Amino acid sequence: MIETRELTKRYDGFTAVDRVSLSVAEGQFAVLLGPSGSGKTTLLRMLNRMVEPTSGTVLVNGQDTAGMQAEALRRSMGYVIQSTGLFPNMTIRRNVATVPRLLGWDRRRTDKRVDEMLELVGLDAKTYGPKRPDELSGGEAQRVGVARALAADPPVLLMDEPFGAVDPITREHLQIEMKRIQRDLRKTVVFVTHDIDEAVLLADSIALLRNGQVQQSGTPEDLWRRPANDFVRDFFGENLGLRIMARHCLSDVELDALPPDDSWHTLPAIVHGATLKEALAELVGTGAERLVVTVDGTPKGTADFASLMRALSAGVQCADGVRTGRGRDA
Amino acid sequence: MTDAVRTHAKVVAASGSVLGITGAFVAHGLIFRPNRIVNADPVSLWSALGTWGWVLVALWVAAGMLALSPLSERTRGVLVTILGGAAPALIIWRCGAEAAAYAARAGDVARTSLGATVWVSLFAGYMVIFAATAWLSPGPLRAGLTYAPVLAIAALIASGSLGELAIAREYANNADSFAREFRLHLTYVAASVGIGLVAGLLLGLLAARGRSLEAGVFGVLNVLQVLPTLAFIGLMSPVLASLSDHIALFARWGVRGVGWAPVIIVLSAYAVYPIARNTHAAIVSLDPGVLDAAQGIGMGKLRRLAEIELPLAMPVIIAGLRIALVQTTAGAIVAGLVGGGGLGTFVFLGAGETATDLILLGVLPIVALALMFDRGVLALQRALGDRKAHA
Ligand SMILES: Nc1ncnc2c1ncn2[C@@H]1O[C@H](COP(=O)(O)OP(=O)(O)OP(=O)(O)O)[C@@H](O)[C@H]1O
Ligand SMILES: [Mg+2]
Repeated sequence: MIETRELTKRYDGFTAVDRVSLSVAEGQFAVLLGPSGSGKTTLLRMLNRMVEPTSGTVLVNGQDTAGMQAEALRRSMGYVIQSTGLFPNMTIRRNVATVPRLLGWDRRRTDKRVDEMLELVGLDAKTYGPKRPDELSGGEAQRVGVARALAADPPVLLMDEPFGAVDPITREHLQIEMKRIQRDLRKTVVFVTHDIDEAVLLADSIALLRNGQVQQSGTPEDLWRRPANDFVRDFFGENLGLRIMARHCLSDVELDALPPDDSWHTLPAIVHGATLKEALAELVGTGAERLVVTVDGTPKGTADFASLMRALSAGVQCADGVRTGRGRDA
Repeated sequence: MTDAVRTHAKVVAASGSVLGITGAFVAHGLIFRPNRIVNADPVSLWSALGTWGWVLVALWVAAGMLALSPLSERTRGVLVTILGGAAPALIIWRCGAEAAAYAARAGDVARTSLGATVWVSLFAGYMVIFAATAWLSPGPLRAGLTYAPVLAIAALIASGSLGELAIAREYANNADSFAREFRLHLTYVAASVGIGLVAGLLLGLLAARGRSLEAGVFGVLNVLQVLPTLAFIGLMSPVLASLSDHIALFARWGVRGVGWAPVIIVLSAYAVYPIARNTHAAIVSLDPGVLDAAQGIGMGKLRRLAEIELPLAMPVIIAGLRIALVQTTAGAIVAGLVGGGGLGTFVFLGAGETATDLILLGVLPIVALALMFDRGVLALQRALGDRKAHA
């Protein structure tokens, strides 16, 4: 879907992005990760030609973007930034309607679309539509930013640290919803962050940058199991294993059958939407060897440490909509 | 409104009434002269107004005491605003009546001129009202009370009861030319501010595009701004004169070294500055994230300008327009000095004849226009701001 070849950006002899060749498949969630100044933003902005490359090419669906009209290219890619960039002189409705208006959609279609988009990001159109951006909380504003980016149904979404400025709890909500939206709508997302947890949670693939160069790219599991160099290993640190476990859910684990006797009644229970990390914490915290996994309150089977590890190697991620972000069975 | 402002308002209102009381007794209230040329000693309003002098002083004293009283803010605001407006209106009314009485006594060539303390009293009234409105919330009541004295004086003028004041006599003698010069003055203002607005917007936007452009644009504008008006016209005169000597079209348009052409050029040049400055300041202080997002979702340059940058910069640009408008209204006086006409004609004519009332015939409308423009644009600014806040 998106491919860069030897993409390079130099500023007065300083190389911000250095011969980057990456490809992002359709419907993939790709994360550009790296320390501050590593060239993530510059790389992202070359994708929609906000920054013109010094050399190298960007291909979208096999077509060189250099030959496209920049505005048309940008309208086919949603764009979300940390400061939201909502237009303060317009209502929320009008903000969301921006790209449909640019594309000349008629009024009814635009209105309908705006309603759908606000609903998609969890905002009531009647309440929020007539408001102004300065009347929103940081999290709400960021949702509107996502709604605006998606309004014309672009196949690609470019996001530059979109959740960097919101509080941790809101950020986690937004991350989970973003993942859901991306899967539901099958968007190709290129997402810039320097937050390792965020990257590992969201990414289908990660490209880790340093000094404008890609150090390694692949699934988070690849980067964990087979780091290409010491920088990659050090960058992710010791907790990467645990972070990877947070990507997987008990719903992906092959459960052992409940023992016929009542012995499992004494085991701690956990919902099947919990992550493997939460399950591990439960095992360690309670000192039990096994957990009872419940679906909608009904015990379905048990899991122990070995079954968690098997699921991790299988590499599956939480099935749609199951992940709850809350471990304990209420 | 902060407490500090509300307390300051008391001091300002009280000072205004003290100024009014003092003004009533200083001997420069009315000047009765047997004819237009003869000099005479001015008398204070107190002695000129007779019994009404008591009423006048009572109004000022009451305004000052009520301003300092512990009444509720609203009551205090209403009463003090009324009193602060009543005193100047009373002065104007009675001066008109005294002028009529004097004319009846001393004949048709007699003149009654308003003295300095009349203008001081008007200013005192302005101070009191300005301060007292701080205690009132915005709305029809406040606007009504504030402008009531203005309307009252306008009504007095319209009714002809001020007709025997010297300034009214000057007006009557010059009624035809007054209408013409007034229109001409307004034309100068409209044309110059119009040109200044377009040029100022373009130059402000240009300057916002980069450091070196900014330095270039404001380098030139700064020089124009500090150049004294007459020096400016003097520099341009020979250029314009030779242009019209050599280009027939210019000659046909009446471009000369003096007259309307240098006036409009000078006034436009001055009007550009505040508009360009404010446009530039507003554009460069826009949130870069907003502009980045606008570009990133595919808005073209012109659309960004029309839908994002200009609307966001508009309040500041309008503030610049306000300065330009007021400044040009006053500045257009210079036309009277270089053969361009306008209200300045009366000012310089009056100065030549040492006829103070003729000078006032030029100055008063200019002051009134400047105040009107100032208030008008301010109201426009508020309306735009409100629409933004509530829409
Ligand atoms: N317009 C520019 N002119 C000169 N240098 C630039 C420009 N834009 C970026 N750079 C430099 O390029 C390098 C990469 O910048 P970039 O913004 O891509 O980093 P980043 O990875 O997004 O960092 P952060 O996480 O802090 O946002 C930085 O050293 C920056 O100073
Ligand atoms: Mg960045």
